[in-house]
Amino acid sequence: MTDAIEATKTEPAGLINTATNILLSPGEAFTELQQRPSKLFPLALIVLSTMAVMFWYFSIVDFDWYIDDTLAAVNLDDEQLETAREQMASMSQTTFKMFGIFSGAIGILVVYVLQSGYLSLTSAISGSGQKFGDWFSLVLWTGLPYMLSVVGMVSTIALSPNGQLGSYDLDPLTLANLGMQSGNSSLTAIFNGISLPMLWGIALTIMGYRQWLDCSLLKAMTVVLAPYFLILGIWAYFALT
Amino acid sequence: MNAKKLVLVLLLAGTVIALPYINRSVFGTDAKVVNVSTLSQRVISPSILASGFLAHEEEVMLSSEVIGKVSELFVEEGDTVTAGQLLLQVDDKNFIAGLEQSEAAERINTIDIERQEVRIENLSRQFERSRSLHERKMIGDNEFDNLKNQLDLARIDLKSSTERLTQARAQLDQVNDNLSKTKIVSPIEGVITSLDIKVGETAIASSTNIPGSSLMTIANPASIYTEVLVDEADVANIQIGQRTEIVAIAYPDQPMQGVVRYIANTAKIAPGRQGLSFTVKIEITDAGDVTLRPGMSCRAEIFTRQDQEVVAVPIQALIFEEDRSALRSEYFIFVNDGGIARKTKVEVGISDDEYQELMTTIDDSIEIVVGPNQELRHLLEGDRIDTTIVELQ
Repeated sequence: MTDAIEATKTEPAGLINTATNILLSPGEAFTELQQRPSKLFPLALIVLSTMAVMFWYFSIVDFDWYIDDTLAAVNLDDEQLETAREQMASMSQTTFKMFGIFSGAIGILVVYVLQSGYLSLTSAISGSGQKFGDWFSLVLWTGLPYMLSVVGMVSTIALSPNGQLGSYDLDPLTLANLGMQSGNSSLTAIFNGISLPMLWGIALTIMGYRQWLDCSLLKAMTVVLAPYFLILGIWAYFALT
Repeated sequence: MNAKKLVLVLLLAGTVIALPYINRSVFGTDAKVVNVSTLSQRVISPSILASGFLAHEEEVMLSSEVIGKVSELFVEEGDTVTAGQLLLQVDDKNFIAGLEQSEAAERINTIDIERQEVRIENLSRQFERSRSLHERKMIGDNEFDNLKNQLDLARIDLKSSTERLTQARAQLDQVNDNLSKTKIVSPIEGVITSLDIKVGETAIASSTNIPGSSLMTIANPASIYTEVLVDEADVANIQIGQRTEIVAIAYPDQPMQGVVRYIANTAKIAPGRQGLSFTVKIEITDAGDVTLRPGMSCRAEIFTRQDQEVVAVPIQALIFEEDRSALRSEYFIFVNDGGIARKTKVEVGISDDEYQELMTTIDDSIEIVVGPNQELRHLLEGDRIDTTIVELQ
């Protein structure tokens, strides 16, 4: 298979072209990534843009309001609420900013690494030649639609001059912010956790997996979606029980 | 890069950027759900809070003036006693022995004086005879002088014996006094509030706080009062006769009524406090169903002015802003301006726990945002509000 790739190797498409292709012509992008599985560009783009947005968000947010808004989503009695408020208020806004910046970036990285590890494991079982690095590149590039969420966050922050902006309201492309609301707070949390770019990224991963392993759509969907269904299933179970 | 793709990407990004704008334009921002109310007249009783404890005005702590084992105890804690009632007996065997010794000493001295007097009488007669004989030159000077000297010495001995008798009587009085101190009697009418000694224990004459030094405490239950510490910043507002509401910690839902009776002249630093405070004594005029026990912790609310009916707002509706660098502090309220919160500066007056007088004249029809606190804390000028009219209690 590697020989076949070598035989049909194309000219480098360029990082910007690959990024555009991921969004509009994913097949071309996956062919390019199969030959040149670059990682630094999408990694830097996603991590740095996330850190920048979080930095801006925690710089403008009304800290007292943020604490109350965060605690409002948690089921606590009055005494526990007051204790939690005091504990959160004892931390400075800068501490929160640093925590938000780094936890956001590290969180994304951890998810990508786990996803890459999972894909490399399943592909190895199938006897594919792709290594962890190849899958990590694929996951990073298929995560690029997340940049639309980043753009949306920037727009949302710019529209909030008083700083009373909840972290869940940041991304205008989450299902919750696109109108899917529920009286159940856990379900709302699920809707807050799923966004259109995320679904787009999953779809791209399925396509990439299928193209790289030359397998059926059903198999690609089963492999890629399995962890999502597992996590969402557990989440929904606890939300609805 | 293909221009068509670039345009598509830009269109996509543009749509996402526009999404929050479109959302806000079409649906607007979320209105904050708040409670509003119009202004009303309200009785405000400005007060000062102070904490302290219950104590007895008439209270004595008995201690022994003699050292000895307690042989009998005639009372129990909680007993009512009268002034002069025998409460406790310290073993008096030693004191009785001492008394007998002193009485014997007195008797011995009395006998000694009698003997001295007899001796002087005898010597006086001898001296008179000797003088007659000496005048007639029938006895020599030496013999006469010896007799005179014996008479003088006998008189001195009598004086000495008389003084010894005085000393013995004083000693007897002292022993009697000590003996009387073995019987502890109540100096006042009251109740035994604390009994710190038992039969068989040794009562110790001491002012230090060691076991045995304190026998019991007697207090007049009718003289119970509240002693609180008022911060020096508030003391200027306290006056004798002011109405007070006292809440004992043990009876949080049963306030008692009282009147300020005493304000200390001198400030002191109370234990556990940093600033100076004045002791204020409050007479309890109506204890209600509260069982008063001295030492109980309590909180007193001293009403510093007569109840007045004024235009007032709930304290939580007032926003306090302070600029320390400019030495400026201001109060604001939020009023409902057709669904928009408008921050309005106001002047305030007296306050109680829940309401504060509004000095600024505001039209009766204007709705003021009064809650909930969760929303009020973060309400901003120009925020959209969804109002619910509430009746203030």
